[in-house]
Amino acid sequence: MNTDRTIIRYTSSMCPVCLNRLPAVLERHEDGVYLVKECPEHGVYSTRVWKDKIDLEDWIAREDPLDEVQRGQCSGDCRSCTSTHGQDTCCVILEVTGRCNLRCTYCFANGGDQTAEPAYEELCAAIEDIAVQGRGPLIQFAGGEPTMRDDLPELVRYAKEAGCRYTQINTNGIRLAEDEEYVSRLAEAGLDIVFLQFDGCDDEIYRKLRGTDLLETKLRAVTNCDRYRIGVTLVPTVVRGVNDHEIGNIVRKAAELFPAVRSIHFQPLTYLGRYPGAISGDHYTLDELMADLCEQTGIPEKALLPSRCDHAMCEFHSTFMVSSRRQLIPMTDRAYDTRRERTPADRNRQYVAEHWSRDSSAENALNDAGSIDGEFAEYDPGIPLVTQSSESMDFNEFTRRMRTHTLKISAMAFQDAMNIDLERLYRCSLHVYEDGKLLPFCAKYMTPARH
Amino acid sequence: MELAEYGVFADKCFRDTPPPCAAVCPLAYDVREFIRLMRRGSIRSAYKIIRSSLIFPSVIIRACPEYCRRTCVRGRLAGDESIDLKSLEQVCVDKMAGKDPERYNIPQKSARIAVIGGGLSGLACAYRLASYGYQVRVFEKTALLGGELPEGLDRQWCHDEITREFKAVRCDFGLETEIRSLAEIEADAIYIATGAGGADFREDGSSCAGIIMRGGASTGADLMESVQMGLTAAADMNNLLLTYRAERREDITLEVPERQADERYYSLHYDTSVAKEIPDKGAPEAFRCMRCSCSECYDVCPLMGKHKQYPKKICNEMIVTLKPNKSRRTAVRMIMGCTECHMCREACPENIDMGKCLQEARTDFYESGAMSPVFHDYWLQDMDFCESEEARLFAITDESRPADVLYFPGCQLSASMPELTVRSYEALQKVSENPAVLLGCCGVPAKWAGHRSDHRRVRDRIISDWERAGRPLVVTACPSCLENMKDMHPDMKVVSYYSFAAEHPEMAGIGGAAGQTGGVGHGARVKVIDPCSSVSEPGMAENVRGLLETAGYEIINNDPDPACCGFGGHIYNAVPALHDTFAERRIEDIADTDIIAASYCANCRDILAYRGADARHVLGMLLGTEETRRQPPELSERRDNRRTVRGILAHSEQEEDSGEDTGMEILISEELIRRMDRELILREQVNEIICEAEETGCKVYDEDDNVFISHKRFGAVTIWTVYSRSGDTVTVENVYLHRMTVREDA
Amino acid sequence: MKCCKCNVEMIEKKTTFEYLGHEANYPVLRCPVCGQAYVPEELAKSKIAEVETLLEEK
Repeated sequence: MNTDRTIIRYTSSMCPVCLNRLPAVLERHEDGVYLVKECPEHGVYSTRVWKDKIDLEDWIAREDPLDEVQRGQCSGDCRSCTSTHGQDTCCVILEVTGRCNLRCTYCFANGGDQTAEPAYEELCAAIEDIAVQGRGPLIQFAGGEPTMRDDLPELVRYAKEAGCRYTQINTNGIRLAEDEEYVSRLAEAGLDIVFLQFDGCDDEIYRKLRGTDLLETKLRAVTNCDRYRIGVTLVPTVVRGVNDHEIGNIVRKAAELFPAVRSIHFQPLTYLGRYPGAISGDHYTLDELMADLCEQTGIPEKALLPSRCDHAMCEFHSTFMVSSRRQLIPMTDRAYDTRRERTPADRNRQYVAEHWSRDSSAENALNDAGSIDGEFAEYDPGIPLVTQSSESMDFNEFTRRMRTHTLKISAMAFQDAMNIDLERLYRCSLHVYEDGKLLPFCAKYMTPARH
Repeated sequence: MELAEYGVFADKCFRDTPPPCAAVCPLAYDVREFIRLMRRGSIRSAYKIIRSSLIFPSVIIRACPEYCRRTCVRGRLAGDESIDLKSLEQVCVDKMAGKDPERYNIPQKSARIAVIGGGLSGLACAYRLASYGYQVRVFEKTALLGGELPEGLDRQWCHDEITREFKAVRCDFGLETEIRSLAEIEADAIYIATGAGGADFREDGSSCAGIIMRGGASTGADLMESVQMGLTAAADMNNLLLTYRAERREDITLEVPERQADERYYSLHYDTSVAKEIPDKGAPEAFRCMRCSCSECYDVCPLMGKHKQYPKKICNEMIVTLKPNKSRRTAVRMIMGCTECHMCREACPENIDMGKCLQEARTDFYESGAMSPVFHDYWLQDMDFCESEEARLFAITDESRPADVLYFPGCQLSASMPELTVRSYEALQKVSENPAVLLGCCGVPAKWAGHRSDHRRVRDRIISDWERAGRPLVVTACPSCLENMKDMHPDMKVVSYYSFAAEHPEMAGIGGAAGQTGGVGHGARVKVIDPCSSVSEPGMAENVRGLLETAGYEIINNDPDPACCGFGGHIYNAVPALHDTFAERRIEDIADTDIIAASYCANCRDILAYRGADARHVLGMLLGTEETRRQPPELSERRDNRRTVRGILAHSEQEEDSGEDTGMEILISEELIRRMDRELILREQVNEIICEAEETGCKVYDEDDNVFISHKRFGAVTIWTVYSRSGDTVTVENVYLHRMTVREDA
Repeated sequence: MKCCKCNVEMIEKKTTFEYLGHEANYPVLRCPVCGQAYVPEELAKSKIAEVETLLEEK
């Protein structure tokens, strides 16, 4: 064993060329933590997965490593797997179309290239299956671009009736901006959450990543969703050199648009599906994102908590109370993290869904005006974004405001063929529906490396 | 223990070494994994395993002389046959027959390799390097690839098979090309595998190549060894080329490595049964293979078995966990879950004592400041209580002379069975001249918590009392205490009560010295539950059985059978599920039967009785006092019992703790105690709240219900107590708690 | 409700509770002289427990 390289843990990975399962090791080098693996046929691969901007051992302190049996069970080949997965289903993604009205440079689903679209009945059967297998999950309609389908509101309604507890669409927002009637139909059908792709507040970014100016469209989509009280989560894909400097502005925009925007869910770029060129040897890691987030906003690093449902290296989340001046007050603190056991998937689902959706009755009960709109002053870029003090409020008020006045900032780091760590895959609770099976996200979209 | 010591602690463990079949095979692969996959019928995956070792499986299998059969463990069993691995490999090959290997897009490397000699050795090297992306050219002087092959193999067929395999990679062939001088070739590295008696180019002065490797039959290797050399050459070349400098010149001749089977494999326990039902896709021969490996330790230990952790793995994780750079958590469960029952050490062919390793780790873990106090807090407080004035007692019958015997019943015996503690001392007193008694704790909770200095403190106290008593023989009723006391002092002799009683048949009431043949046992059937610590005194288990038999019990298990009940290590708080596993396992075969479980450790007895077994303490059985299925006392009662024993043996009136100085009697109903137990609220805490409230007046009065309410902060919780008072009697009506703190500054 | 130390009737007053670095308040009975508080069981098991859970990010 190389004495100046500590092994943090043993795990398994895949060969980026042939996708065979390989034993792998997480090793600390001087400049960070690397995932190192060797394919007997294709050689050694080493990828940096953590840049030590945040103490890794502290971050994964409560993570239980897999034992040999569990490790042996996970082959990474989810389609043919018959063993028990390491985590129940929190959310299920259902691809309702391959069509898309954009053709983005990066697309994990490789959308827009297919013209095939499943029939409505076929999707209904899938939804019923999902409701049972996922035990009433949060169902996310995706694609391609799900709003290409006129019958999307019907599918949403069908999902709610079939027993899916929460419904969500993952969209670029173009149709939501241009077709208000469509939004009202979605709201009527009971849509809870809109995941809105949102890369920044500068159209240059959209041109680079999405091929066209989109900022105004996105903002209009938010306005329309607000009108019908559907909670919006901004979902930026963070690409180094393109919009990693924009993180602070995105958070400021969310504070400005609150409560129309309930949360932000960052996704550092992962090499899945369609991407230009070769896989970069240098991923934008989760800890890099956390460091940039804290630096660009003033959020204290200790306010970020690791996931306890999925693997700690997959996600962070944090909760902020939004003051009447639209300042963010951190409510979470890693030092006080009392969660001893893993969070079961269904409790996690309720927790995230409550943060991402809007609770109309709670909002209406807030004040005499019966609406949340009057609660916040105009956004003032001159005052600090993050503040520590909170007016001491009484229990009832506190409980209510934790429901109506909280903004959640989170991130999910997906895995590609270079950095896939099967221990993380084993714990995944975000599943994609394919031919009757629920596949962990990164397994479903796993793409071999190209040169 | 120093970090470096963990690294070598399990050196002798041979768990992950190759089994005898793989140890003698030049092209060894992970045969255990291969067999596992063949049993499941996952032929494709099994094929992937052998493919990277056998390179050209279809050809190699035909050419293989089957070294494995000579050393196969199954073949050494009487009347059995060695495993036919070749047939299983053939199944894989047949399944993939005719399928061209997958071709991947591999990035080209710039270095050029030349292989001289198109025999299997050269071809193996060429294939491997080509699959890494090097530019490889093979030179073969005949028209066919394959070189020297065993009789019976058709050369054209081999050539065709090999050519097919090479479709997966990019490699050039120069057939019918004989190289006479290295100057003819342009390459950065050359592998010379021209066979026995072939050209070796040693006198060649040309230096067009930087790296030259020689292998194959010319080194004396047989055919399979030659193939392995080709693969080794490829790996070594790859390593050298990664740091390649144009001016470097290397000329390396490979050597045939020694291969020997590890004899230890032949004396392990194996499951030689063959599955009756073989699944459709599974290969029958795969079920005869025993997948030999040593799992003696984790076959007996649920902690190791659950995580399939064998000693070397555990030690590696200790190093990671204890290293000062804070990568702490990987092995905490292992460290906190060991009960130190020694079963692993007893089972290990090399006697590796993982209990000792984990105990050291626990101490190091605690000393590094990383251990959460929660795990052992309760036990340490309990130990402190045993060492306090309320419970500790050292008394000699006649203080003017040295004592001959010092009785150390053990703190759990007093806590659980106070009457028995007193009776057992009475029996001992009758046969000793000047008996002394020491009520206290042997210090093992501190040891198990990793608190070295506290452990020493308690032990020093015992030693000092023992010295005061004139260094008598120490007799203890608790095997666990015995294990922890026997090395306390070089001159201290410690024996178990049972061995002592066996040597003193005149101990009335013990050992049926009353004389009847029926005895107190009346022929009742008994299974002796030997605690793990019984191994620390040779003969203890036998002596216990002797005593029980003399008392008229019928023993159904005559051979000592020590095992773990889950108490050891105080893992209860740290890993409660594991504690349950140990306990359930201990009770498996006696759970719902009439068989009496005769235990001579108070902890085992309590744990088994709690789970429904008819568990009785041997001392109680000998004295005829033990009732059936008596449940262990609750937390609060345990301390009272200790006070009672102390009171009796100190000849003083010692009441249940009922209000300390204020002279109050505090009553709490059974039901409320149970609720408090569940929330881990101690009676002492409630007493403290009430006493302070009455003393200082810091309480609140509710006229409607005629009750007082007071509260106090204990650590991370605020506990509230509601009580009524009538004269000197206090009745506790309710107890509740919350975690938030209340700000009471006016 | 009477404070036994000061022998006065207790009055309901907004009281600050602290947990995990955050504060919230609720009116509970307090002694106007020494500040002693009374938290009834129903409050501990309902609202206090609720706030504790929200702050523990379960």
